[in-house]
Amino acid sequence: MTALKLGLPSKGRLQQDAIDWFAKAGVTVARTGSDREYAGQVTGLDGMELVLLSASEIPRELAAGRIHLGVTGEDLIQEKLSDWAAITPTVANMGFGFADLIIAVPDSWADVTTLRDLDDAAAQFHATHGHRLRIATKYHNLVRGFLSTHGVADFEIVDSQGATEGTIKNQTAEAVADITSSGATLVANHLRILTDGEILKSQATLFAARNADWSDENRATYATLCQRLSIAPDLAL
Amino acid sequence: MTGIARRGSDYRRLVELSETLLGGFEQAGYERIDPPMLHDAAHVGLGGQTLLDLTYLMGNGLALRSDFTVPVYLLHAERGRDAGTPRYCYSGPVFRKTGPGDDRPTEYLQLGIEYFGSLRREAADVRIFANILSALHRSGLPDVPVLTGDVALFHAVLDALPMSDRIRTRLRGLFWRPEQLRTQITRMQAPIALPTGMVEGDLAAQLLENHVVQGKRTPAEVADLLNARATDTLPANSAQILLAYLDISAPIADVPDAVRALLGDRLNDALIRFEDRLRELRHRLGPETAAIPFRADFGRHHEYYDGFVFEMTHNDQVVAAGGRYDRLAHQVGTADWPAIGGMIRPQILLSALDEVAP
Repeated sequence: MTALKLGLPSKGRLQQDAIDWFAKAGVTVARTGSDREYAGQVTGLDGMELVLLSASEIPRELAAGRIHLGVTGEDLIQEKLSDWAAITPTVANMGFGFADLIIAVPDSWADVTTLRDLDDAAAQFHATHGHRLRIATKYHNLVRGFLSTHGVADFEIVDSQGATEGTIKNQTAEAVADITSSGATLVANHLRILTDGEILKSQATLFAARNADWSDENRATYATLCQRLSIAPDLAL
Repeated sequence: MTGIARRGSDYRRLVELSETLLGGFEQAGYERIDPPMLHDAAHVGLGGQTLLDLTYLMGNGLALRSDFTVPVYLLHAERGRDAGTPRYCYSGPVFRKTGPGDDRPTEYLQLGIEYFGSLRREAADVRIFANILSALHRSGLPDVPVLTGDVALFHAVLDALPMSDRIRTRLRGLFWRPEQLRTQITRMQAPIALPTGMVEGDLAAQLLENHVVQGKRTPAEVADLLNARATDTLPANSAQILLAYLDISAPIADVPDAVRALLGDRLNDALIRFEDRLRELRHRLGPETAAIPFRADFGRHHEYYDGFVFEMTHNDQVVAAGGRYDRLAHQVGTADWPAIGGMIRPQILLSALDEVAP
């Protein structure tokens, strides 16, 4: 019988906050061996097993049902999974890892404060420069969906997996869509968030995997966990 | 919609249907061609944001075709402008990216015809429309709802109304997004004040003084847009007529009178061409064509269209569609080149046939 598998981010602040969050429920999650070893164990709750994964892989592992539960940001789940609500129901919002996915433009664009202004500028830019206004982001699906819903066209998504704010200065993009918590990085890079440019408010969330093997033992372990966390278990799993 | 049937009886029926349709087009004088699945990614944007978002870019300067119009055009263009007035037919898969929550297929079949070079545009429009419609009829789909539009007529309305070139160009570009278009027509009637802290004069200098400037979009461009929005507005009367025009939804034969009621005889050239097309329709397909529905804001979301457009649906699914795209050549090469095409989606047609005669 396989145990109930819990996927946690393999490093960083998100991992530590998640470990603290589970500790409050009497579930002790600890890494085994050295800090570099991607294995861990769970004490205080029988039948649960820890899997350490890159935060960006957790959505895929949840979707495939290779883990039963996983901690990751809502932003990553919504970007990577098409029908996320159906296949990875939310167990609990965890109250940390707050981040907003926003659209920002250079502060010197005094003519662009809203999405409608961005659409004006995009049309002008395309006509002037012979190519579309480029928006750097790693959230291709969320950004494209958001902009088309809000009537912005004539843009092009360019992929940026890091240091996204620098793409404008480097002239590989004209605007960015990125995660921000305080906005400090944006200000430091002389960028400004559009007043209606908030795509998603995200936080670290415990998700369940509809496609995992939910044996009676696993359901029982899950019910115990939920009880300790004082949340109602999703019985549709 | 189901994916492409690749074996078994559904596959055989799909092959038979496709061959029957292609055979019919060949008999009608269309040359069968096989455009490549990969084409130069530089041409992807020609279909506008809709197709751009849907097209797989292969990362090596090539794109996987999401539509046949551009690849067929490029294949035809190799023959040069002295190729006469060739007509082509083709069939094959197209590929479209799908985003979250979108269960449309990433690969499906299109089968179509294109007609290049004919200067008798209205006759060519009707010929393609009639060939597609009769292909549907012959395959066993007798009553299929049709919708038509005319992008050139919208351009003519814009040209006839007083407004600046800047606004005219902007509104042309917004045609593909009817909701945005109406919003902007309303918005552009009033000037937009300069942002607080800025005063009339050298706006670019003020931007340079008060902001860190970075990126490819220059302060001069920002200043241009600020200036234009503060001073250049759409006359209220033009806006009112435009909105009334966009609201036209009528039998196609009633359209010229409806447009004349709004614009008098300012649009005569465009309307004479429209009436030529009506005559061709009546001549080729009979007097009942007068009742074909027309909607002024209908353009099929493919930005290369610039004339007559049409769409046939079955239970709200597009079973066939097409339109005129003379300016595609202008954007790829040098001058306009008369071009119109239409396509059928054999899988949708097959499921429609099953519903009509199970």
